[in-house]
Amino acid sequence: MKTFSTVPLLRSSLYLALSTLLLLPIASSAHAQDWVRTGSNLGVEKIRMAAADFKPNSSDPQTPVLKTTFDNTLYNDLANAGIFDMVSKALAPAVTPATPGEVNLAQWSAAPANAAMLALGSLAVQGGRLNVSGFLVDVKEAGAPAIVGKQYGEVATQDNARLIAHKFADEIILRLGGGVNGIAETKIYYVSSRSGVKEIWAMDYDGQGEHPVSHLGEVSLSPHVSPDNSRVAFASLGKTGWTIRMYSLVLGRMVSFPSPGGTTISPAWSADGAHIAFSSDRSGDPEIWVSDASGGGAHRITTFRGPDVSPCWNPKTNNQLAWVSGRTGLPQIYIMESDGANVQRLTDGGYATSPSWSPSGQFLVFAWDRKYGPGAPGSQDIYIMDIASKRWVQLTHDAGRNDFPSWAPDGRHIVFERQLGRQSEIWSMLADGTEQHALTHDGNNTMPDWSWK
Amino acid sequence: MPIDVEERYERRAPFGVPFAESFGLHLLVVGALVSSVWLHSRIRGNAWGQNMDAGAIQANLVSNAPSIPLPQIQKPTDNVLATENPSPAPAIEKEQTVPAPDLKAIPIPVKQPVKKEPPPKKEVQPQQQQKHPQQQPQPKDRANFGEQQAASLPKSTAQQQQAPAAPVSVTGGGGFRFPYYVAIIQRKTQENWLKQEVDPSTPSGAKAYIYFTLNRDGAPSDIKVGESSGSASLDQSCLRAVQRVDSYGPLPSGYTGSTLQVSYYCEFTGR
Repeated sequence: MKTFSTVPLLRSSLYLALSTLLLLPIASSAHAQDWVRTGSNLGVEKIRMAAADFKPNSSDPQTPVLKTTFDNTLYNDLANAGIFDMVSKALAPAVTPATPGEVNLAQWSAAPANAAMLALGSLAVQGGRLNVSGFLVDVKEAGAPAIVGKQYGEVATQDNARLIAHKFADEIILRLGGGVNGIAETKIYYVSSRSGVKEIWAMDYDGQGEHPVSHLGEVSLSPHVSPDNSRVAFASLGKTGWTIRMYSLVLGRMVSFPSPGGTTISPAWSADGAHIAFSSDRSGDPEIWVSDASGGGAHRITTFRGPDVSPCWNPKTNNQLAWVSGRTGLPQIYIMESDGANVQRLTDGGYATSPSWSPSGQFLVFAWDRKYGPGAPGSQDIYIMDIASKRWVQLTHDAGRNDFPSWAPDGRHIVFERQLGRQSEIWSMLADGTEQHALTHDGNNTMPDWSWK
Repeated sequence: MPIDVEERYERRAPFGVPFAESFGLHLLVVGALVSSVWLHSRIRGNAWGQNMDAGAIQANLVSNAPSIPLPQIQKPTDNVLATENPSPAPAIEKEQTVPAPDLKAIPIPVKQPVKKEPPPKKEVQPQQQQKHPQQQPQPKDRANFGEQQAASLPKSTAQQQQAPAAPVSVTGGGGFRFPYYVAIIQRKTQENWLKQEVDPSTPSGAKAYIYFTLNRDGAPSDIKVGESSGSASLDQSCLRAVQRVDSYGPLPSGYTGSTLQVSYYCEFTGR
């Protein structure tokens, strides 16, 4: 039998009273906390997005030209994002509200526009500078504050009009796309032979602003840009055979990179920019090597007989590599740890090349000819594979030979090379294989690489 | 000997009368069978297996009639009892015998450790009217009977022309007036929910509620199962769906709170 002395009882009741007093303000602040209650099966659909033409706020003769560029670029960026259902310009009301206060919400939410979101703003050229203020409003929610309100100012040029549109579009995509940065400001590096020799070129993600990067006069292949957009590594055929070369985008010139001897090709940056993986046959057999970004400390990580080429890093974990190995005959896709351990084969046959690892680390895209060989009517197509389950989906069908896929940093887009007839061009598509369209239309362009940001 | 034979003949059972009786009885049984079959065919008019004229069933698609409510998908009650409305008669509590106090026992003065009272739970009371009716907790000492309340969400298969206002119920002090952000939460979580992780024997309509907190940068934290569905695999898959999301995107700049509480449910609707 137990008896309770009154003192602890008193004490405990005192504690209780004290703690209640102390916790009261916390509890009341918890009351003020906002709760959102939602769930599955409540309907998920693409956001219906309208982009109003921006209002010209100056009489400068440059204004209409820049405004046209800006409006078109903004609309295309939002349409290309892959997460919006765009209101066609033909269905949108012919008004140009400059601020959220000037918007007649009913006009935009009613048929035929049926918009849920509206991007609007004004544009002015003053003293040679282009000033843009852009807003994003929720058309369905009258009285709510604007979701995005931004001001931009740049020197008034066509390129800057596009740049501002890209920045504003990326801001909208970041806000509405669930924390994934847009790709409107990213670049694509590729190989073009339109100058007579295969050189490294670069362009905006939408195919605008193509310009050459390297001027070596030598055949240059497989460009890969560093994660901080400061350097481009590529393979070049010089007097000493295939070597890895480095071009600094900051300095605008070639910088030295001590390439190991032998045929050295297909460089790939690690996600932290500290290492480069490449293929070298210094040891007599093409193997995967890893070195520092400066070229020092090169060491071999594959030792199996048979060619090993085209490494690429897992950008999420930065400690895995996918590559192509011919150790069983035809080239197949393999993955391993960055120290060469834990080798796994992913493809079960055919002719599989050019792997690219998705930013989320979950998927691999690669080019695959599943029925390769004499008499087999195989075609090379882009496939996506879920690495954990090794299940794959074909993304391109019956459209030429497709090769060299490369992920966009948002994980929603893939750029690749498509060869129709004799001409090969750069195409882009969403990661589910839809919305394929060509980015280049001039000369032969190949081996695209999407920048990291 | 002849007497024996005679006796035998005399003792033989008579043939005529029993035979007639048996015959009559059989006739009666057969007659009863025939008449019952005839009667049944008359009464029921059953058409199974008969060659009747081919009929047709007309089915009208009602997907374009938005006013016709579809049957609700409800979580099956875990109750073995048929109904859940409180019955008039509460269950009788079992009487417990109180042990008689030991008269010889001498109380030992033991220093009792100070019992720490659990701090009062911070409960967030919904202040505003909720769009989704929350089921009222039933008192524990009463038998639960009656049918579950139907959710009042209007459901129809009609194609909505306009993007629906995100179904959202928001409670709290400042208010969260950003349905677009709620739609993002819905979309991202749905994308990351792998239904194949759920045990297929989970009853259709089971719901697992996950509670989590969103920081200003949209990263979920403090993810926990708020209300179990009764299926561990469904709870886990829903939990993982939220855990897979790195960020839902920065909270709306017009929202002033430092964090946002979210309750998300995963409803299993079968494969």
